[in-house]
Amino acid sequence: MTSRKILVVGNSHTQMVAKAEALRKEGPDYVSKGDVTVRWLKTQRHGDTPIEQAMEEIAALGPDDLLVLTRLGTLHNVLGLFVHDRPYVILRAGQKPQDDMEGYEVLPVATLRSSLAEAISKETLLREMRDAAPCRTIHYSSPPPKRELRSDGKLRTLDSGEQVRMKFSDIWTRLAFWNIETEVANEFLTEIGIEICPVPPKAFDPDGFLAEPFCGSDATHANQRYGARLLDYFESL
Amino acid sequence: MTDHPYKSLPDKAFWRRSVSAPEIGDVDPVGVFDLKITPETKVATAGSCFAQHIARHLKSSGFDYYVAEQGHPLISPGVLSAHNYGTFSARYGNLYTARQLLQLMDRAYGRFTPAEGPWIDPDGTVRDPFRPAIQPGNFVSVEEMEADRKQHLAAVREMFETLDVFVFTLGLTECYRSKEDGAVFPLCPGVEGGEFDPDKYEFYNQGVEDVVGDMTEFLARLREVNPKAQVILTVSPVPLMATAEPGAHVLSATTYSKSVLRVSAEMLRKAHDFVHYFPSYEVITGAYNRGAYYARDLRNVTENGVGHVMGLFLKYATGGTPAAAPRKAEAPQEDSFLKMSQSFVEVECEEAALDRG
Repeated sequence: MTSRKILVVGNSHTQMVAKAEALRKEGPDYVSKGDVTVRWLKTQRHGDTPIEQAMEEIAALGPDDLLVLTRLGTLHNVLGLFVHDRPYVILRAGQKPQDDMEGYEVLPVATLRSSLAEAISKETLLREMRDAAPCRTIHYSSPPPKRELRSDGKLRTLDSGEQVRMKFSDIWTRLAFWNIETEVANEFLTEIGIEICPVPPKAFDPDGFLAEPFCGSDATHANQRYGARLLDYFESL
Repeated sequence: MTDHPYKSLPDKAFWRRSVSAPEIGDVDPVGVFDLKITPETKVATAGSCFAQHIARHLKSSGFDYYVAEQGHPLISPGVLSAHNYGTFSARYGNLYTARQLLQLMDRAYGRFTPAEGPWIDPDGTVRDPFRPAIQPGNFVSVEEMEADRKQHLAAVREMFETLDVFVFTLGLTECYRSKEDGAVFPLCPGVEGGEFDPDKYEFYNQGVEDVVGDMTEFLARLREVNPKAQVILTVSPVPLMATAEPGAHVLSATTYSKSVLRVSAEMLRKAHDFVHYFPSYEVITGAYNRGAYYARDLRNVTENGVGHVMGLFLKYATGGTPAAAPRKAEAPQEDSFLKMSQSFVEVECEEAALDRG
């Protein structure tokens, strides 16, 4: 009897799963519950697997196998990780405005939702992969934001050669962005018929940030412990 | 034969020469309009549905269409537009009545704080009673609505203080207002949010003295904060969707409403040298076009009609030549009319909610 295949395909957030699986295999008590393969889709700068190859591997899965995708959930980092030249504030339901909002622009939640939904609706590869897969397909989004970031920003080099420090957005803006994007992404996934893999239990802190034990070493990724929780979930399905 | 005053009048003073004889696209009902606009002139717009057409054409005609409340660049242009950023120069939505405009200015400068609280929809989302359809999906909380309103009113102040030309399209005389403090609403409470309560709200139909009085106050306050501001008044040719005037027929009510607004515009123009009237109402409603500038619903204006208006506007305001005004007559019964009707610009008009059933 061949073991069940679990194929994980997507962006850089595949790597915590890859690392977790590698560490597990090294452990003395390792018992295989499935044949886990992780594919980081190739982009211009990162990744290891061309889309065509990933599509072939997806098509080769059997009906009892599991396809795990991770593509959505990165916009909150692209758009909201750093302080914008035009400071803004997102007031989620139940959130009181800060005392001094002078100079901050209100970014209505419904407007932000629509903009994120518009961007997510352009995602076509998920549909193609869903259609190519002969098996159950699930998706996990990028992890919640970290409460504390280890520096106050990142140095970026402009075309002129000048280096500027991009400051990180405040924690509540980053959290609001992630929450809204996750809601929108989940609506999209439901609409296109892909199951949603939830954030692993206890990976949140009480305010909704990524709990410290699950934080990766950079500003946006979770670690292998988070990846291991995801693996547990995949194998439980 | 004796001489008389009519002998020396230009062609435009004579119906046959200037209305019934020319081709539709050649009819030019502009009387006195000596305001000049350059590409550097900051032109702001407000008003009823028809004002949206003016805003749209200004944007695409090389003018400095002034938008004081642009929305955040993180949001895509398509979503900003769908969420009413740039529909007008600030995100106030349709300002149908002169009183709405006056109260907007007074709210912006803290002279008037309406007692009306936020409108909560059954799903818990929140509307601003003074622009109930401005936020698709509504606001998520009272706090968000109030913060957005504060930002909006700041943009309104900035707009009034820094614009060069303010184009205001007078749309309606009928309105609903709060019995408590007279605050007027763009839509009857209960139509698009809110709940109608006859103990709280009442119907009011403005007369000439109301419109002239409100606009005179508004103009004085505008010039207080911006002494060089010029104002162009137009009257919306879009008929009433419905009338609440007791016993009235909507056609008669439309005639009353538009007559009041047209008379008021003329009185205001004559009273203030910085107020100008542009006859978009006449271009669209004039019998010379035999209804060709209305879509099949006899209410929305076709793109050709808007083109005729804006062609004349550009001709007079810039001293240039008219843009794409139609040259050939289009009779309503012809297929071309049906095609034109189908291509009319569907302006997002809150007022349409009245007829939703």
